[in-house]
Amino acid sequence: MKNWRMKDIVVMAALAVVFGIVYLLFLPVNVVMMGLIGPIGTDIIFGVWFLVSIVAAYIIQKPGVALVSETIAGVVEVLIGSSVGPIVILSAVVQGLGAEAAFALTRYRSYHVLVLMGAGIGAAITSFIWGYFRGGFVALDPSYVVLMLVVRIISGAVISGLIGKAISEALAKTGTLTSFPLGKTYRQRKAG
Amino acid sequence: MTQALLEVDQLTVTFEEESTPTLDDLSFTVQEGESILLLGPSGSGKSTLTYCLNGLYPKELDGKMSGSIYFAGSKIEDFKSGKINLEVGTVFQDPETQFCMLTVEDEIAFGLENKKISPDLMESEIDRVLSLVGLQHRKKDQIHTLSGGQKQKLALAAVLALEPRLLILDEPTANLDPAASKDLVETIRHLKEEQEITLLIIEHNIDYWLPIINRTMLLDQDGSLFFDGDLSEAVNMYDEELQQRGIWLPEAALLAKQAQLPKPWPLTIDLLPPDLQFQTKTSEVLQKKEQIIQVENAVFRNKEKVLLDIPALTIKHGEFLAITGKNGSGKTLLSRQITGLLKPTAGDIEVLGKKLRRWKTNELYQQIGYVFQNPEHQFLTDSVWNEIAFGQAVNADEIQRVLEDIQLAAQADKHPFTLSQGQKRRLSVSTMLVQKPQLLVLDEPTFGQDSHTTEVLMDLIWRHHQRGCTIVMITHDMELVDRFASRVLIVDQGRIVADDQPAGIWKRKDLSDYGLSLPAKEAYNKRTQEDSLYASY
Amino acid sequence: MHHINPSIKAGTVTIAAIVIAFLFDPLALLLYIGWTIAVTLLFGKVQIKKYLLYLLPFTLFAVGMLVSTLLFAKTPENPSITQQFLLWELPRETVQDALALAIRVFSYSTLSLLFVLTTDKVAFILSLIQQCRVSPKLAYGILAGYRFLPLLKDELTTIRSAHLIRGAKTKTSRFSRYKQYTIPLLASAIRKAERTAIAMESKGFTGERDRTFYRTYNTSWTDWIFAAVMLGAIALCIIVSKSFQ
Repeated sequence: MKNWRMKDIVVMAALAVVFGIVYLLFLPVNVVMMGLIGPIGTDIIFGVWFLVSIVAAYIIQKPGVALVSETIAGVVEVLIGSSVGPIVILSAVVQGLGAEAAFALTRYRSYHVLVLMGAGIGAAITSFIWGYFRGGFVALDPSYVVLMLVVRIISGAVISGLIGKAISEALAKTGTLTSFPLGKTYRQRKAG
Repeated sequence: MTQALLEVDQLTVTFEEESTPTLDDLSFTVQEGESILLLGPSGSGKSTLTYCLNGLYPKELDGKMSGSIYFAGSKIEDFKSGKINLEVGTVFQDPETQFCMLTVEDEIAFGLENKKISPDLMESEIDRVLSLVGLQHRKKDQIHTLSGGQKQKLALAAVLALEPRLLILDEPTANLDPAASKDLVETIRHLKEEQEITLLIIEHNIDYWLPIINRTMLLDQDGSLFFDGDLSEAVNMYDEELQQRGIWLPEAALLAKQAQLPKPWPLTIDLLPPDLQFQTKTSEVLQKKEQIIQVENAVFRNKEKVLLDIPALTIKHGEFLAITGKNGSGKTLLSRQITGLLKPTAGDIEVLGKKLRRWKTNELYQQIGYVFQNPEHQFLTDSVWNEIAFGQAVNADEIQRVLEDIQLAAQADKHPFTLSQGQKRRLSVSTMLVQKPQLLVLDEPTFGQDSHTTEVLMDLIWRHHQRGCTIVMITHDMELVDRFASRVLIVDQGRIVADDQPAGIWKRKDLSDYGLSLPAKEAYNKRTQEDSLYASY
Repeated sequence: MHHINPSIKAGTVTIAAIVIAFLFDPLALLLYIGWTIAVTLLFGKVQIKKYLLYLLPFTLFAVGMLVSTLLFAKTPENPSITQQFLLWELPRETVQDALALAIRVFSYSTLSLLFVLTTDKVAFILSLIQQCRVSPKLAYGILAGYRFLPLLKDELTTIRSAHLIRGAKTKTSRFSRYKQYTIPLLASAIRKAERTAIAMESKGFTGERDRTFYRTYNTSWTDWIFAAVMLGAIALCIIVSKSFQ
């Protein structure tokens, strides 16, 4: 964290706030889905949770960003007060670790779309393991549990990976990222 | 000779993405106790200079920086991290983004903690700086409950707590209305009397700062310094250049210019000679009879609080209506009500003879347009061209013509967000005008814009008005009201307190109660009348 | 309750939640829920009405959990042993699992509310720096970002209106509208963040640990007693529950 700039951190917090708002917009959808098709309904849009991690990592491109941004998002959830209390920070750390692992595997050299999707999948897996113990999935039908995992992985890959990439690149186009690696890559590509 | 407080020597900054320098070979010195006004057009590198002086660059700079800056004899880069910021304090322009704590006292404590002041001394220090800016009664309050002007005062107090020797004010009034701006300047003037402090004021509005400054520097578009000396000399020598670069001349100088007085022009209205004659507005639009907006007993409440209460209001076809009043008085709220963007809690609003709730949204918004304060909020696409083309059945030739009209043809492929402030503003107004609405509502369209953009915008709006478009414009700018409006509403605490033609409004004695002041011409007339009154005694 | 050190309170609540994750005894959980609610209301000086209001969404969530577990439960080992549950005849194991799960979700909620309703947010962050050695750079950065919440909420409302005026509702799909809201909001948030970071550094903030504090947070023996009592109560609830069975 020594080589992080102050603005890297405030930007992560600001992203966490925006995605916090987006998440609140999704909350009713979440409840309806849960009511219709059970806990798997939450898994369909679970990728929304990891968006902040993937977007921040893709924009800032420094080791640790995926983990820390997700953790910050957890803290912000606690500050917003509408959430599950301090435990959510721990859940966020677990998710962040999953996403961070994908970036670490490439030694932070590649932010290819497959890596971004991998980060979404990583977060899906770690969060699922965590949820398995916390949420007591043991009590559910094993085939249903497997289906939940598959749905969550797809959600992580598509919502956080693909949509996260699209959001970050749309942002780069607005010229707001000029002092971040993604903005610089975008500019070079445009110039070259 | 005493040592200069600040010495800038051949400072050049070039950003990575730019081919030409943003600051070009800048050299100047600042002596302790001076109050300097730094004027420059947008894009002349004023903010870049701020970042250089408070040590943020070259650390955060993506680009090259050469030359040197000495503060009290030592090179800025030799200061330990964070130390130069205790010597050079900065107040920035955006009141919303200068704080990291939630309450007033905590925010000031934040700086004191950075300075590693002992906690026992903090309380008294917080009280001291709050009373310097007149905010002692808000000590325990949440920052978000402060007005824009109060936030800027808090930003000032937080910086003063660090006891800097040089205070940089980077367009501190850019987001404030005239009343709050004057109040802030008065606070700073008072502060100068209380303690020895050196000021570097970066601004594009000269008038406010006249009572304070004793030296002026002019930056050119290319980031080079082209004048350093007395303000009166700057205005008289470079009036053309300043106007071309979009910098607002002092009102008095503008009047003198209009009246074709020989130079030197004075900087304040008091110093203008008597008996100047000005052209008065003659272009009155034919008032058709039909009404476009009709409000009856509209009330808007948030919980129990009445935010807007309009017993009756009629707006007719062909009017150019200006809505003015203090910030937070309900101007924007009123404009949102008459356009159906916010439903009234009670009462009826008719648009074009049909009740608002009977309109289909898409049909209504083909008839009326609304230009929001922040142009970015209104952009939907990712290029300038597409913004104009969006949803309109217009052909390529017409789009091209519109873009040329607003001087954006060269930017057609750019993302709207990457335009300059003035360009964004022109684009957002244009996206509304291509829909050819019958009524166009504009929320402070010229706010914070330079004189050049203001002229282009008003010209655009005026031309559409001449073609029959009814205009409702929220503004604080009394010069514009005087020049363009056919009717003025003053809103205060959610009520319309005045509804008259401009000439009638200028006769009122209570304008200052609503945060308003007379336009320069009227102020001049009033003064000369008073003078002749004295003379006749 | 408001005077308990926020970090210790957060830690206690978190540990309690983890311990509960391995507890499948519905009665013990119910006892602990009662205990948590009692502590919150009695020592936290929280109004019952306010408390119930906050608890409502969590209750709905717990009910949802109950229903879905009943529907998607694993095949019980002894399907023949059944139990009357409201109107249905269901395998006892399934009912027990589902009830335990719902009660567990509910007990998380009461623990969360214990923290949320009795803790000042800024105090929590500052205490994280002072007690948990969280980097000031991170902690103040979070606070700075958190300040944008009301601003960005307002901005979202404005963007919606501004797009409505331009006819976005009839001319674009729902999905691209989400994008049209999100991108300007993010762009604005990032610019705000950059400016705020600059303003913070301009006040001499370096992110170093070496700084003084206007508000100091200490830990005292009462904090540790609180932690011990809250965690000890879990064991007590288990014992009491066992003695009933």
